[in-house]
Amino acid sequence: MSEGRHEAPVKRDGALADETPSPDSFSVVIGATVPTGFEYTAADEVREKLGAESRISKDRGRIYFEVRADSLPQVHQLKSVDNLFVVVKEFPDYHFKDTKEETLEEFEELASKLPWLLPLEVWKLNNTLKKRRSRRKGVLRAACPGEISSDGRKGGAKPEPQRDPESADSVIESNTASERGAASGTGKGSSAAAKEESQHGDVDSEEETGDSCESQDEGKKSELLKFRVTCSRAGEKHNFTSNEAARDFGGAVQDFFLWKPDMTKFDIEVLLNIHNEEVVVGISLTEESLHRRNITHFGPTTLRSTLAYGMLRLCDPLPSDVIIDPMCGSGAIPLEGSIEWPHSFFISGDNNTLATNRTVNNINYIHKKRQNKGSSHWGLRIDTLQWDICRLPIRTGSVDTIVTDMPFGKRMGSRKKNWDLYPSCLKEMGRICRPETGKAVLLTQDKKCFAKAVSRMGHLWRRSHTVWVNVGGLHAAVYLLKRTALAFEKAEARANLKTKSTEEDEEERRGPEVSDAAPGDT
Amino acid sequence: MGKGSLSGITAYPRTIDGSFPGLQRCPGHYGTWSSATQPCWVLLRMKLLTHNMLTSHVKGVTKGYPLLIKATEVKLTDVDFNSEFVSRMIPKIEWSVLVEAADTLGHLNDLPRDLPPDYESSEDFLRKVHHVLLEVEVLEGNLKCPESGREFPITKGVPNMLLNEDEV
Repeated sequence: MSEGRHEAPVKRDGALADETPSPDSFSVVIGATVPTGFEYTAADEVREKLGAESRISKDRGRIYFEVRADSLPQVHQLKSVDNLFVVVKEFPDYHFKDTKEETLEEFEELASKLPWLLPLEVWKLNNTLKKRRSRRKGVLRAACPGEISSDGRKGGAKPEPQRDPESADSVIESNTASERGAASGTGKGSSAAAKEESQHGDVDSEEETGDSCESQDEGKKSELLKFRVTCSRAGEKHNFTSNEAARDFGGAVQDFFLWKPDMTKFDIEVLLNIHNEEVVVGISLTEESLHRRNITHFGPTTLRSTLAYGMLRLCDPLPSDVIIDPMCGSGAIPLEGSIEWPHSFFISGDNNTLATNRTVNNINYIHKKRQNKGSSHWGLRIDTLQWDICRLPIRTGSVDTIVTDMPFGKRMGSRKKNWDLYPSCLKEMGRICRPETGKAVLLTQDKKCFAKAVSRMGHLWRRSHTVWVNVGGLHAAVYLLKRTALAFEKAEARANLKTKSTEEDEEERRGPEVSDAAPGDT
Repeated sequence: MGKGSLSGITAYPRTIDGSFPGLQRCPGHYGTWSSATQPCWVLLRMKLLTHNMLTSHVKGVTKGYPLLIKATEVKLTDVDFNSEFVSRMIPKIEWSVLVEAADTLGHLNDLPRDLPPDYESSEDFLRKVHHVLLEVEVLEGNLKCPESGREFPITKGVPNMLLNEDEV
């Protein structure tokens, strides 16, 4: 370590310099990736739980907020974020040089000039939180070795993970190898092939975490830190690729800190996010994406828990609200709801036995977890039934909110089926929903069909708000609907009259001998 | 009304017990467990609050509510008490149906058949209602349509309300 540096970096033995501040005395900027479209919802949650205002990168799925370093545990409790990182430096208007060589050289020089000290403090703090979590995981894994509850890593890379089709009733880890491979850069000395391997590496390192945790404590004091750089780049006018940027920046980082580059078993992940003229350097705080929490039994279209949370927040559940997901699949939405809004009542239902089994298994896992923790009131307010969405066995007007992920017609159902299904769904949902105060929050990609169905059911539902989201690479929408004040029977009668008068008008136009009711009678 | 063999279970077994009645092996879990952890059984339930909202939708039936419960396996669980939840839920449910259902399952205890006028202020009363609404669960049995007699089975706590082609 040379004398010329103006800040004390992490020393070889892992100890920091003497003047490191205590966590309650300094603030840092945290960046969070959130489901695209739900940036405002996430900012709302940050305001509510951390009292901080967020800067939103609209439609880019990113928000930034400043907090005191000692509120890091609360930051990890946020439910609408997928991944977290601590910002080292933001360049809102970075001037790239004209040639690739000069641009890359500038990145190299950048490494030694950045304010690393405080972000590294936060990273260290974060590790102590992570260790506690991975130790617990180690225990659970010893109990059920076949069960894996986490997704592949997704540190700061922009593309959404694809949802792989999975066999029913089995607990499988879903990998996100292909998208990450596209965006990731490599540290110096590692091959590009390591990108693909990193996903498998995730599994190994997770399973090892329980064991190597202890050795890491002592090991860190005497071992070099291992790192990797992940670069995501978006924009037309760059004269370099993300690989090149990551490689050169990573090389400079290595020279500065004397860390060892390691693509798979790294201790610290440096993020280099470039979007047009905006450059953000950060350090990742989450190893595994938080978006698949709570779910252990995945189905073919299991919704991200962060997306489910965003949808639920939109409908603002109140105590004693009855909230139904009539096409629950693996139960992601009602399960997330019953955990985060423990004083509302959730009912999940599906027509498929595989789905109801999955939902029950997922609920079971959470119950077990809560019992293991020793909490005395571990029961969640949630029930599961098997039913047909078009013929719900629920009393008219007894439900407050309906939240569901409708079949897109791609992996589940078909576009053709949707033309009949959507209107029937909306009608039945309109029946069971409480007039005037009731609402529905519905996610679908089949926007055309949905719009048509809503206009047909205008006597039951009116559109309130729409959030455009990206689900597994598909452009979908979350529609917030409000139930009209009409009771179901009255609404139906009125709708039938309208249809009848439309039919009569048509008959009128066709010929006078056909109609027996005068126009304007109905 | 036949209650069958009621097993009012209040706690889960702490060790593996292969013959635990009414519970099943969780299909997605592989491997072994140590004796320090819970066995990974599938948990099963239908709460009386849910029953209060269910109605028969068999074609032609006009008086499909309430469904009659026949339970062969009932379980007690532990849910956090929240007085606001209970007092706001009472107006939304059919009180007499709840009382009848609780009685059928043998868990009426001393819940009054008539709703007291000032129930919101009595925590003791609200706790009793909380217990009956959320903590008494039907694992196995069936729900019977009062008009047509059609029975909807409850398996592993999940009522199957699907109708056959000819009943629609």
